[in-house]
Amino acid sequence: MKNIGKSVLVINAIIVLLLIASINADTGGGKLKLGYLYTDEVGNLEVNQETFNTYEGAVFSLLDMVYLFDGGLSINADMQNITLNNRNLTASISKPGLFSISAHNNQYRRNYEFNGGNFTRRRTTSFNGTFKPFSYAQLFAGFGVTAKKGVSNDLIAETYDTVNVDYSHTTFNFGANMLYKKNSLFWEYRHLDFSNNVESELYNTGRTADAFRLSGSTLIPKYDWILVSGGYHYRLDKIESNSTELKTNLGWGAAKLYIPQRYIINYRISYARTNHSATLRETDNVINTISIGKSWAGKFGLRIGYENRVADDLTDRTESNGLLLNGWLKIKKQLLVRVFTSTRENNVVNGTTLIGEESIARHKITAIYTPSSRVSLRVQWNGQFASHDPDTQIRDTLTDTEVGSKVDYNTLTASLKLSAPDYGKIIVSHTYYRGQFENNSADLSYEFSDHLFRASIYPNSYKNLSVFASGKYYRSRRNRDVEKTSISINAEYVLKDTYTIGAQYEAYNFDNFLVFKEYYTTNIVHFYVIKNFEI
Amino acid sequence: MKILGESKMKIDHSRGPAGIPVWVGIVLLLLISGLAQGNDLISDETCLDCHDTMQESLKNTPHQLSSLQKNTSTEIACINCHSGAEIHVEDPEVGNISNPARLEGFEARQACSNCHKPHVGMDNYGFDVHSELELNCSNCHKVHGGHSGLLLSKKAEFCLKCHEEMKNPFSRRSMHPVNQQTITCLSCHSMTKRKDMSTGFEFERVCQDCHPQQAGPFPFEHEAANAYAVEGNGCLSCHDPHGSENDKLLKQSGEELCSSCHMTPPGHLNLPALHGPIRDIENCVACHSAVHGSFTSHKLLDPFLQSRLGSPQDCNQCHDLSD
Repeated sequence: MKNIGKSVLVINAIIVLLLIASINADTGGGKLKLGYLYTDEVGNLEVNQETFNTYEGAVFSLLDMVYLFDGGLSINADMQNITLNNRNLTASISKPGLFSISAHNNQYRRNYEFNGGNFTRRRTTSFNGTFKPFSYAQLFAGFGVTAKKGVSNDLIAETYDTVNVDYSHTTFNFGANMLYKKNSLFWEYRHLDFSNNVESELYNTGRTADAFRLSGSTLIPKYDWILVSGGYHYRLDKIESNSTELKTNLGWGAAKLYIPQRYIINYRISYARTNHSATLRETDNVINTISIGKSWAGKFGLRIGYENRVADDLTDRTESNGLLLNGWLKIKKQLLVRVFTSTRENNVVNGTTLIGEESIARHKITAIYTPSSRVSLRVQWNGQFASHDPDTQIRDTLTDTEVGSKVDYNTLTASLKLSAPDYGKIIVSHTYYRGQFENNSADLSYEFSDHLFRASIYPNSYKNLSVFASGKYYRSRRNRDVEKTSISINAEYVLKDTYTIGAQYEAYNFDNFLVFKEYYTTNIVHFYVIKNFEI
Repeated sequence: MKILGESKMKIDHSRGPAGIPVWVGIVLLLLISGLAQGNDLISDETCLDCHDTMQESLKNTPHQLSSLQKNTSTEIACINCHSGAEIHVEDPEVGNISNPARLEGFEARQACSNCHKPHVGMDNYGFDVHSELELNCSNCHKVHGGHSGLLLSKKAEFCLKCHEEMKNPFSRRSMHPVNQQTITCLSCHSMTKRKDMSTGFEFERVCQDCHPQQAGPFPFEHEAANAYAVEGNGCLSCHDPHGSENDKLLKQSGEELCSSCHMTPPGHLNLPALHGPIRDIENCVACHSAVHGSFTSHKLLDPFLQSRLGSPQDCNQCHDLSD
């Protein structure tokens, strides 16, 4: 009944919006969607994330509504699934160049129990407004609530009872944004308030935060090829019950030099100090970054950078040096190759840290081949590597403070897009994920090998009929043994240009071959009618 | 560094100082009006005589022409973005008028930055791939007839058009609900809302918008969860934000994840004397459930552990929980 009440409220609000719109009318229109969604589920409702937020029932949506008044005022609304608990609503009223007010609401459910009896629902509601009193200044303000209600099984479903996770997180902010002749100034104040409804003080994590930001940038007079910017950020988090505070002061400065021949030099520095009152720890973070880039007018670009990071909490101090290389090459608009690589060596300068010295590398290569407007082929490899003890001889002498773990993570994706003007478009893609985690602690290791296939077919409309189909297959092996499949078919028929009759069928299947109770199958059918309307 | 059309975009805000005799003002006005007559700006009406559909395409957008609306603080005319109109009116060749959408890289961004502050990374902050690839504002935005935010397409589809390979992680076992349109790429990769958010130890704030219950501070912190800490890498220490083969977007599952940083203390696993539930689960979080930070225990133990295990006596009687 509560949900029906909310739906009625929203529908009333829409009617009021439409009534307001009809006064002093100019032009407007949108789409009304009415339908019914059936679901038929078998198995464990807590395993298939894609269908967590699917509900059975009558569906009413108002889509792409725009109403324009004489003089420039406009009302916009896009409200999906108003009558269901997975509603996703956006509405705004604005006058370009003067003001805007917008509202947004959406909800997301997660199941925590075989039959779906235990679940949590996160609701996000926000209001934002801007006002532009002058062409060079904009004031803004916002208010938002993220609320979560329900029960979850927390971390160990087999052992623990359900855990109540109700909370509400309220924020409001306001500030100003100014831009005058390429000089900018921005400031913002933000307040956050988190409270939960758990009676026990052990779980009462109510807290507040206040944050202030100020930043600005300007071109240097007479040297307008140099852009400098800087800012300050302050944030204070407080726990209500025991007065614990976390305070951060951050200052940053940056310069960008546009040198002839398409060279660009970037430099930035940031310094932050974070104080934690409970641990009595004061942590400094200093980051210096410099890079130089050069491009050859749309054909080739290269950037090389160096970054130094220092983290120091007076007991321990780590320092890292990172190198970055980023390049791209475009050959006759048919082939684009992008290469990104970065490495970082993190050393413990003072003290002893748990994970010790670290080597991290990340590489990404992307090639996009487009021989004609009908064919496009993309291939991407992404590799991430981390090592805490590369020398196997040293590993035998590991102490408690040297874990010696390793990560080797690779992703390879290939996707092909084919289109024929007379027939339609097909997109197919395959991604292979491979991860090996060597955790020398307790001789535990972890490994996965996943394949994901995806295909979508978009045939051209035939007379007034259009059809769209897609499918996915996911298989995870090694330490996991999971299989997921889904298909979706959608058909729409347009009647007299104002009505569209549609049907959508979706099916999902999930199997965990290592955990007997983790299986799930569902069929979802959605019938609907869309009416295009004008006011 | 001169920008195409810049001279036409300058608005004269100068005003005469107080105390000047009225006749001086009149003479100045006449002079100014005389100069203006000799240097007429092309009006929107002139442009719309030929390009009549352009007016419609700007309706309901922030670039709605000022000449067609009332009470607005921002003056927007065709010539603000398209320079060279005087020549184009005489000789209506396409090449005689500028079009920011057809400019490339730096010049294109400069054209828009007369009125707009460039997004984070596109100008002065960090190594942003959009900037390095010399992308133009029009690679993502469509001034004439774009969707909300003048984007080329709606919501997540907009980013995934170019980042095709990023569609796949959102179909793995656990993922953020991007394909379900509950959130979009911009929910985390915000290019406009967090202009100052640059440094690594600020990234965890992005996660806290939707997951505030895991956010600190805590009297007893888990350092790995704090990006500002010497050993911390924030939420990404344990979670893979796009999609994972494990539940809750974890990089590894169970005790494997913990043991990538922690040695398993002797006597914690595979001993018959262990309490039943712990022995059966063989998972660190069975006891150390406050993994994001604790209000009661520096070992991040579950505050209700004793009652949940049904232990008749205090844990401290058998276990040394002091360090």
